Amino acid sequence: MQPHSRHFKANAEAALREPNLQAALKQLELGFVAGRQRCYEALPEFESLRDRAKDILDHTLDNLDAYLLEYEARVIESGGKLHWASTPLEAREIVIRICRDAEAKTVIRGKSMVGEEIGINDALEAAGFEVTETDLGEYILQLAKEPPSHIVAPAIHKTKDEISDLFLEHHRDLGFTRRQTERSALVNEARQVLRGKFLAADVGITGANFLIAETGSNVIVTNEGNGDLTSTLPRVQIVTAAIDKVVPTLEDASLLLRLLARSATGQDITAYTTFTTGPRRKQDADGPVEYHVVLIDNHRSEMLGSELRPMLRCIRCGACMNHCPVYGRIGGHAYGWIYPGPMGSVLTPIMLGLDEAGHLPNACTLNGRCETVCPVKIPLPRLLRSLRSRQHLQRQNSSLARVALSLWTWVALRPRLYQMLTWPAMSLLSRLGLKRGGFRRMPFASGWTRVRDLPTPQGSTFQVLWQQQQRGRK
Amino acid sequence: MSAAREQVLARIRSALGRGELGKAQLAELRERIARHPRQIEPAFSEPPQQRFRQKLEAAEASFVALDTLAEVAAEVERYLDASAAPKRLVTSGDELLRALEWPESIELRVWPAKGDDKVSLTAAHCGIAETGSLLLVSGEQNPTSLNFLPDYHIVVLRADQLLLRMEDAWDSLRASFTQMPRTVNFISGPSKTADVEQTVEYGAHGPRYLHVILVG
Repeated sequence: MQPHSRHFKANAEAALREPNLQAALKQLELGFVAGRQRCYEALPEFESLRDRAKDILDHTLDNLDAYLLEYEARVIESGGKLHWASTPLEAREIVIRICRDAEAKTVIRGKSMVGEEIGINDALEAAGFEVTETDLGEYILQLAKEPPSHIVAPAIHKTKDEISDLFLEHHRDLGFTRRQTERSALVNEARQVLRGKFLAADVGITGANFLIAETGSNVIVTNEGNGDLTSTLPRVQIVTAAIDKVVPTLEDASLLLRLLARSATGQDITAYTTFTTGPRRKQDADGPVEYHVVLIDNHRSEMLGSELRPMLRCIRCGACMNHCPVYGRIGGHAYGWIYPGPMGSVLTPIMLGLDEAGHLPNACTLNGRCETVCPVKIPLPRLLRSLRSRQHLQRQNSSLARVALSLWTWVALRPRLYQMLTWPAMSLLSRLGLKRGGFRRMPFASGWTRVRDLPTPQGSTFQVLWQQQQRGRK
Repeated sequence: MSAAREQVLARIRSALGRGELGKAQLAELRERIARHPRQIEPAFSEPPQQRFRQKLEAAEASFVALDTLAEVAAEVERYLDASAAPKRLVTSGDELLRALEWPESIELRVWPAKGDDKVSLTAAHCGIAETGSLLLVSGEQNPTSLNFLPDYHIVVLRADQLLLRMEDAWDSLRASFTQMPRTVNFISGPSKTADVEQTVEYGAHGPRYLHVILVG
């Protein structure tokens, strides 16, 4: 998709005025957030699982080249083909070449964020293939020609009414002439339409939640079973996966699976967890005859060598966005690309550049909720701060902000001067605001007071209080 | 695309500030893979069969425990009657199922499944108590499509195949197969989606109903 992260501020303001989106986001708090909390309380080992998950993934990243080569060897041994791609363009070319070589006409997709990342659907359609998304949420968005607004629940912003209209518009020619209004009827209609696509498809493309170095397997986690039909019915299967998806063993994957669904949707385990290894065997009753994996770097090796390395532990559960107060008010589209919320605010500037996505690391209050719930303990606030530092060092923030920051730094490094300047300002504000309890307007601070009050200072500065407390201790 | 392969590997190594790993280090990693150490396995106090059943039922699967295999056919018929489902089954060629004797009222066909088959009957490789999951593996007699295409999926599992955790299933697979089967499905309930207004609906793409028969 064409990114529009540079319009973050306008996007966010528009999102705040979308009543349907606001209702959906409120529901998220009741659903995913409450569900995760229930899982957390029911599993005393949750914290130790998080620690271990971090250790396993750090160990894997420290040895990433070796584990990828082990994985590659097992894929080839099991009869599969492995293709490496540095960039989204290379990945798209590989996928298109495989489809052409297979003389395919129709392609079905199982939901995959890396597929979105490399823009595979548009590329396949431009190359003349008929592409159908099979995850219900992604299918709805394909009809609506919209990008996902959540990495786990992509169509979270769509209302039942909108879906009814979309289905009537697109399914009428297929014989579904009644506008369905019940949820179950909508799901059923999509099931019937997509069943035909599954049975007819030449190529199935899925992502991977994990890749297993021990066996050369890819793991797919779904509730719908669409990933399984996509992996089973077409004669060619293509797995698109990023290099940070590999883990050493089946046991390592088992540990991560205990965290994934709990953190994502508040389930102990999803309805389907599937390990797929190579094409169908000679004696197998069904399954694809060709199995390809496209391994994609797309700036991940660059992150590996920087302070952003912890981001490569991400298992794409979406807990960070579910718990983010900013995401919770503006939803995913405002972030302007496919990865929203805290994880997206780290990934998007790396993948698209700070020029495009410079607003995102700043759209964060550093409240730390994301880090608290992250199943693999990614220090998201620290990573966002480090992107802000990069912006400052690369002179990508506004010159006014740079001057103000330099001035503030200069003052802050001189405690006496700092006190001399802050004390009178504080005591003036304190006296002015005592009666009112707060300020509704403030010169030079309209950015703050336009949408909220500035509380009245309570009569003393931190430095003064600190000194008093220290004296008291002695 | 071997150029991309070399580039990606070179970038990874340069990011890690080292060259290719030495023989000893590689041997250590391969040893870790060969040893596949178990990680943290959460404790649970319920008897395995009770937990298995509770987890499955919480995921809207139905469950029945029988004493002997001889009762399976009658149970299948009872279930199909109660569900008003057609008495036409597509089954896998699993040994366990081949041994069953069927009444004439039930029509049986051995795989593969077609898009319009309504009921399938398969046997599980094992069950997992921790999560209430069935493990089904693909193979000569076990097409994966049986697990996903029909509306009703009936799975038979022997009680001695009920294991505690996913890690036990890995050990069982390693003991039973020299190579990972092409497809290993952990099935923990019927197909569902919450993609329409975050409300769960069953029967998204896979089976609308999952019926588990535990024998022994």
